[in-house]
Amino acid sequence: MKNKIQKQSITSLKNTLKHMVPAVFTAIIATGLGFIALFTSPVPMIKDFGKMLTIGIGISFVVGLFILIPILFTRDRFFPKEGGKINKKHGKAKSDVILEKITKKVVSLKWLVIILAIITSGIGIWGDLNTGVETDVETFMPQNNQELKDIHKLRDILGTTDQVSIMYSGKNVLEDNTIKWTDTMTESLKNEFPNVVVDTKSITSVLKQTNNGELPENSVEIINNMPKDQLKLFINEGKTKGVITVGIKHLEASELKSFISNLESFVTQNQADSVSTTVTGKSVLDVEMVSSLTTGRHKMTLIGIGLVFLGLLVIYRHPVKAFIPLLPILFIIGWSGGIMYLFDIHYTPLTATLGALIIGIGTEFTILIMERFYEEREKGLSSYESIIMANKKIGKSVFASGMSVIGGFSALLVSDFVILSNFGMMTLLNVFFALISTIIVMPAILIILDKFIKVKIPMETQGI
Amino acid sequence: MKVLNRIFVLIKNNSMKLILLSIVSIFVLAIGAASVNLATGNETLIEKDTKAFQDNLELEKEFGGESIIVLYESENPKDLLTIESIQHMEKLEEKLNAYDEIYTIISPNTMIQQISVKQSEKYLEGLNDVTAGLEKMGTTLKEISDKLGKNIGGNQGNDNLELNFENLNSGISKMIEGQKKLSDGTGQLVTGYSNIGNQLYQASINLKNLSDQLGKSLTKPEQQKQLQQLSQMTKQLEELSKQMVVASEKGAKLNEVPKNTITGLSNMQQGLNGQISSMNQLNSKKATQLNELKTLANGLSEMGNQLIVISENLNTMIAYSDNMTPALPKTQKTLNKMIYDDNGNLRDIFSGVMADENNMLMIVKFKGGVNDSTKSEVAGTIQNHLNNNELSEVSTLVSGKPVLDDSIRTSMRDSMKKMMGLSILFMIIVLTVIFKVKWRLLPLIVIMLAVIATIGLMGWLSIPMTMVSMAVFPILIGLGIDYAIQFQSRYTEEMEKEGETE
Repeated sequence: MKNKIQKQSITSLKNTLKHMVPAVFTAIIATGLGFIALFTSPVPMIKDFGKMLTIGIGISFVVGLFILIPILFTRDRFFPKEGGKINKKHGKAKSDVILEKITKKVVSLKWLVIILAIITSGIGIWGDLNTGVETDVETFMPQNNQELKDIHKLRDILGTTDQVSIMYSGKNVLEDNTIKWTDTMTESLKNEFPNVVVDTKSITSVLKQTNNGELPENSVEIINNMPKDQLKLFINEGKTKGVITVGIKHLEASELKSFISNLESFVTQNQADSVSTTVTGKSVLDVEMVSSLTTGRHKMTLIGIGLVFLGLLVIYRHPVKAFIPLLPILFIIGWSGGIMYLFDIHYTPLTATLGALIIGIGTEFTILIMERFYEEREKGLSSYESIIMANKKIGKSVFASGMSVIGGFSALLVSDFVILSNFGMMTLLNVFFALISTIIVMPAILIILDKFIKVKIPMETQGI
Repeated sequence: MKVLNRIFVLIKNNSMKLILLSIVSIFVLAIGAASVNLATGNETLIEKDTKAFQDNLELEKEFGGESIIVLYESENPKDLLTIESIQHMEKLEEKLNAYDEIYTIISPNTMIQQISVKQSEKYLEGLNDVTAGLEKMGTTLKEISDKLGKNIGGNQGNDNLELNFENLNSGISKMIEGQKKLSDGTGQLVTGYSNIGNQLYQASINLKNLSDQLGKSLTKPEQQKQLQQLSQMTKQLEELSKQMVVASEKGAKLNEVPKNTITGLSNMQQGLNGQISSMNQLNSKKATQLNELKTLANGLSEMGNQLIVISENLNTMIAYSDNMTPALPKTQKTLNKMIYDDNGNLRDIFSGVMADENNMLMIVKFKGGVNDSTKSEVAGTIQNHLNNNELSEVSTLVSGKPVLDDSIRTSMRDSMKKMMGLSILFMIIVLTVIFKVKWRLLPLIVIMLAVIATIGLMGWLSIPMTMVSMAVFPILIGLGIDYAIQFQSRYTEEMEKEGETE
């Protein structure tokens, strides 16, 4: 008996390698292509996220192949044990019956299913285009954090939360002209943007402080007598650069964006010949991030779709066949966007990756069903019979895969980081959608698009 | 599939070695985990080569980066700007001065220091003026006495005397000038100041003696008038010197002293002007008063000498000006003088550090490009100081972006541990429910190895851990388990086959 197990182990090893390595490798390639799309994001942390995911699944594959399989093999080859056999269940399992029923229903209503999916997903995509973006890093972190409360308290006291800096540089920023320009700029910002600007500080406002609110005649002399520590906040040591600090109210991303561009044009219009100006500071960075997130998000998703499509095209050599597994996933992207719009969940750097991520994860399910469908078709079954068969056989393993993914992702839900728990919720929802889409929408797609794909039907089963 | 065949042969013949080798390589990778850094800065949100990032970098390089803000808060505005809290800041700033990474510190204390420095500069100027004035007075007096002596010898030098008196006058003016500057400063008093007082006192005594002597010998009414003036001068000098001595004992009153002195000196000046006219009268009757003039000359010469000595001493004192360094005010009264203007309003210079009447700030601004660990260290230093030196009526708070970032990093570590733990727990449940084979938890163990290797590789490739990349682990566990399950279930399925062995 032991001997038998030992011999069996070698056969099992060979068969496992032969059947599973290509299948898992294909799945990893598809998933990896989705993740690679994240590299195109202009946001570094998303890039790093994509890198780590790609490295991670690569390592998972290698570890599975070179540790898991050898361990199982070693166990049976060198330390065979009696028993431990699983009794195979006979007869139809409950899940099979349910899956069969669902599939039959879907096939009879195939056009309704497809049209519904297209409409709902279209509405979702429209909603998605109008979904806001959240870029305030502080909203990502645990909200009951004491330091966060402290900083909010501090801001309430100070009355200003954000800052924009107008940096100006020239040969000598203490020239009369430049000093006059600095003063005019410092004073006019409040009048120009009364609803946004809280206070402005610059070398001239400090000068005025020392001189009862008037700009003194002998500015340079006074500046030279000023304490260094005070001076270096507004002009550099070489007197070639100066800065006007503008304290502003806390604005929404879109408002901030328009304020910054208005400010930039105002500064450019009123620029002195003696200096060149740059509008910068943390708020400007935030605006930059918002735009990179909003523009990058759709690009990332589209690139993800493109890459997976190309990958599948290389494998299947057939455009329609390469496109079929992607269709149900496209619907998910629409639905997911719609949900975010409905519940007013804003995009964060993390949820912006959902599209690319779900393409990577979801295509694995749809590919499995499709492969099985064509396997059955090639055996000579009709498309109707094939789809029932495929769903019955693969549905369970897709369900198991979905469950393990859901199990892993659930941990995200309990994170104190809002950015993670939000993302966890959305990914769970997406994986759930992926399962629904695979079991319900996929059969309808396969049946409808069946005529576009030539199936090699073996001779002996061909009808006359 | 040649590759597959090779792998098959490899595993078949060397399975034990392969497992060991793989595990060793995972451990080698895992070493990198030590150097994974948690990143929360701008570089995680925006590419370094964008204009926006570069502009901001430039700004931080020139004008400093993020700030830690220490908030001093008090129910009663009176309790906020006290000697105690200013000293508290001073001590903290001394500790922070050890860090080169700090760009600047701004607080009520640094503002007061600035005022002190300015005042002491003014003060020193004033003392210099006084010195010059005294010296001038001294030499002039000596000259006058010389000329008087010559007059006694029968030479006519009266016109020159007038010039001398004018010099004396301008000397006194200089002193007044100097004293005015002194009155602008309320800096710390110096021991030397009382020395001047003592010497002036000595001079006034001499002058008194002189006028007494003169009084004995001069009997004519116009001479008496002179005498009166002389003794007035004496009195004023005496008064001045006494006040200087008193002032040196009560530093807080210093700014009162120069005012009085100025009055005194102005009177002296008027007196002198009187002297000049009476001198002229005196000259017309010179022959008769030769003797008296001699005495006057002697007296004046002595006084001149005295004044020169005073001025020299004063110079020495200024030279050792380390006892002129500005220090924190020692009484609330002096402090208030510095903080509020004459109308009792807070001086403008404090507007940046007084948020409102109940809150004042210390702003610790870092240089651009300071690393996170230094920022955390500085924040820790501040927090320690506040914990070990609690103020009686004032509560403190440390905040600012670096403090928040530090706290985010701590939370990230906690959150990661929690998520990893839960992922494993959920996976055990999922595997138990859906995976009915021998050694069903093996995939989980294998995936944990993969996760460890991934973290390690992050360190080797210096990919930072961000709020976003924390999500990698649950995702990786979810996806990776899926692959492992596929391998294991297929293998188990094959083992259960009643197949013929090859």
